[in-house]
Amino acid sequence: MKGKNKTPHYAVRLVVLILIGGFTFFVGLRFFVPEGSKLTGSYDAESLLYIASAPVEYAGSKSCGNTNCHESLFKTWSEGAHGAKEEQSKCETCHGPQGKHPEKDSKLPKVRGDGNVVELCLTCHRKMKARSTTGQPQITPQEHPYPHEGVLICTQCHNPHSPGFNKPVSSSVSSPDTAIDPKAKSTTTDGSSGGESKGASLASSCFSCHGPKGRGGFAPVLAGQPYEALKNKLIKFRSGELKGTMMNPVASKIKDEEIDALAHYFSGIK
Amino acid sequence: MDKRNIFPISADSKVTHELEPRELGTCEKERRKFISQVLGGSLMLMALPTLASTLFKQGMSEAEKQRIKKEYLEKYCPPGYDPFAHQWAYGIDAYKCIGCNQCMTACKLENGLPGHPSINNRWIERYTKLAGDPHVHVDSCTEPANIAVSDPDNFIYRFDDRYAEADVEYSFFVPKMCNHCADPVCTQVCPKGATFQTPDGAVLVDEDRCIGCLYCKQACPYGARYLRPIPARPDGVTRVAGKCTWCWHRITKGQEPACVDICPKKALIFGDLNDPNSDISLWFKEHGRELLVLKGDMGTHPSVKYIGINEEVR
Repeated sequence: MKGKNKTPHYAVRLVVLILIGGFTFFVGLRFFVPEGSKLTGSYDAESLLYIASAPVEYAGSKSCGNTNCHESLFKTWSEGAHGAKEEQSKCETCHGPQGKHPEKDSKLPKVRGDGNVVELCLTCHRKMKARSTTGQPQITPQEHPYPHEGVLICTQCHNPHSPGFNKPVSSSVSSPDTAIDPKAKSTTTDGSSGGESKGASLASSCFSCHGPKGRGGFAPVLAGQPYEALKNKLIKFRSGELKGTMMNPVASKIKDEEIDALAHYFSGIK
Repeated sequence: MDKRNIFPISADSKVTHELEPRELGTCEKERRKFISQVLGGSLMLMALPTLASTLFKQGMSEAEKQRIKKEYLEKYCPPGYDPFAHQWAYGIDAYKCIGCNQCMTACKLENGLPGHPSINNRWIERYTKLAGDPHVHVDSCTEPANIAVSDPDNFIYRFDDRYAEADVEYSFFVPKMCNHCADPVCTQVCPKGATFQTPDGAVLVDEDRCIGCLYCKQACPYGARYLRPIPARPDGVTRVAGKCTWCWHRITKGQEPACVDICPKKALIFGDLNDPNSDISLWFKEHGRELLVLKGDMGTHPSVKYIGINEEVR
């Protein structure tokens, strides 16, 4: 009877093994469990700091207007159709993320994507069956007065920062049949010589973006730039060597002597 | 012998149907004893955790809880951000959505995702019902026809105008994303504890722990997860589970998620439910009875609520 009650040796071994295993497990926990998991019980709380440390790419429209950099543009935008309503097209909706723009590069922010402005506008303004007809104006490119001869992109008639139909700055808009309106000669003041007057009439189609007389628009200032630089840039835009926001489709239609006249005109303005 | 009698039992053989009563054998006795012991033992085992919890778990006092919370806040939360003070929620107004895919672009650029149209934290679906067609047609940015008019290299995604000539009964856009469920499924199935819910309601992924097994992708009823390529980790993992984080790096700094910030139609609303004057609280109040969630019968209690969708939307 006594021998029957004695615990078999294999059972003793099993119990000892379990005890050793358990001991190593709980001791190991102390060393291998990350500090962050001891608090939460499951996940590593340290990952919170890692996730929160990601860089902010979209800085928000206010950061463009609150600084001294783009105040006038911000004002135009906030009073226009894109910024005045509750449904705002933000700066970065079209220009892409600019969170790193002020520190990293001093270049002017381009529009996002491949620079095709017409397609960028149509992203929201193309008429589609699934889109509710209320809200933003929606067009079918074939029905909208586009493309006129001379009018290649939306921004020639609509200011992207304050859309709505502007009284056409470009003479070619008012008379779509001819790319260059002969009447434009009389509207320009410095039409003294033949070459300059031709340049002036051509240049009027640049004013919608670059501002009257090549100054004060949202596109870079042209007035007073060196003749060679202007000419080279236009040629490069035409050949596609230089990628611009909207200059490539515009420059593709300009002839050599017209480039010469334009460069002459803008370099002559002081 | 009659040749027709093929059965072995002859007509005059006797068959007894009565069983004689007999005593239980040792085998039966042993079995009954065994079953009762197993039952008793398993009952004991079931009672043990409850017993243990009543004995030991009550030992975690209020002071101890406060200490843990304080340590959590001080050591692991971004400076100046208290996740216990917020309860984030998200609203989607499908009436307003125009399917411009700007939110998708913003999300990809904000979170550093590749341009491929299948690798998305969020995407937009188009639901279209044609007249005389019993089926509802759904398409999104991953469809070849839509990729053809998109430019993924430049992060531009568009819908083609395929229903321009068709007789459309109704058609609308529905932005889809991680629903940041109050009772998330993905956190329960994760074998590594790599996905978790923060006290403010966001469901996040620990990039260093995830092994990319995608159990969470299988569990998620909303298809909100995918494999995201990352720079190779020391242990050789190059892809982990990706998901919407509600731009946790932005909301902890007091900003809105990139998609909400960028939406040109104000179709996306984000805010703190603890603040009665936040955008989302007012929006929930305004649309109280119209609010819908996706797959409410899954019991996940999503924090993302919709208006303007119908029962076809899954």
